[in-house]
Amino acid sequence: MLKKFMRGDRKEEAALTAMHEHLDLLCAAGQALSELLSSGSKDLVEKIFDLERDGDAARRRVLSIIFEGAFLPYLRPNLCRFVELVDEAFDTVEDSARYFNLIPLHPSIADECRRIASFNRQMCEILILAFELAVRGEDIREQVLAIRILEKRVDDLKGDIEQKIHEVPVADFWQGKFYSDFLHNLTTFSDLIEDASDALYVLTVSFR
Amino acid sequence: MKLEEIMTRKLESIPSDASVYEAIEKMVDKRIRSLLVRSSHPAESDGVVTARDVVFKVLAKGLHPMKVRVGDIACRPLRCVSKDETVERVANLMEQSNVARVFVCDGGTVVGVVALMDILQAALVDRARNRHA
Repeated sequence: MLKKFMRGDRKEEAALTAMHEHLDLLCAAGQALSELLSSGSKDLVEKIFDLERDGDAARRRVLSIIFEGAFLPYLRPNLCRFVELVDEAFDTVEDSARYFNLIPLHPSIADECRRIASFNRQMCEILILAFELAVRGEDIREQVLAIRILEKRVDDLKGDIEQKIHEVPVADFWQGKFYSDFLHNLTTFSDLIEDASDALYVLTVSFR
Repeated sequence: MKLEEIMTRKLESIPSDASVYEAIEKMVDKRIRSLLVRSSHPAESDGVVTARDVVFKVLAKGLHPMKVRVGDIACRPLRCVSKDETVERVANLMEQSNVARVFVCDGGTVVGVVALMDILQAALVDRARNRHA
């Protein structure tokens, strides 16, 4: 459907390809974060940083193609919003990895954190699928609902962590702050993916 | 999809010697509709009490909820399934047994609970991921 609103040149095709690449990189970073929380392998932290840099490049490429005139003008703000939301989600993955590297993940909340990372990864996969369907002009209601369901599960796990967080010993102020920042970023990812899926849904509705 | 991925691991329980009123308080506080009833006596087994049990077996009969033991209205035995069980098989079991939730057990220990809403949500997520028509 997005292709239906193209103006006939190759800019739109290039923008959509770069947007897909941006989402693929996000998904790869989400997968790496999930593995990082399970294995604790510090190599994955560097991998996530590299993916985030590549993601930044993909975002800049999309935005510059759009500003060069891809897509009809009324579509551009929502497309840019979608890209920015995906990029904000990318930042939360990077920051989760950064702060995870600075804290010892306490066993009392480790399982919840791993499950959140797994849900985040699933949400990302569904967002890619939704994007592909939207490009083809198909309905993405089911994907948007699935993302909402998973976001609610992440919220529930966040509530469980908040109840247990008092049991987690922290050595000093900074370790407490890093814990807080880690959990904030880990749980904000799902909100941003939900917002991105809503933005995509608004785009598909505006085509009807 | 395995049950382990969708089950609720946080179990709210109450001892069987507690009153139904205490169970009501806990359900209202936690905004849940069922509690795992832990046996207070070796002769008793664990069970489950739901809002339905409270309404039908106590309130509708005009009994005083403070004077009824929660263990006396709990449903037993617990319907336990393995955490490796598939969602589809558990959905069938729930339909056959006409129950709204089953407990997930691992070596005789209850490790989670799966309710109808969990099954519904898992099915929707699965459908979205696999793009069923």
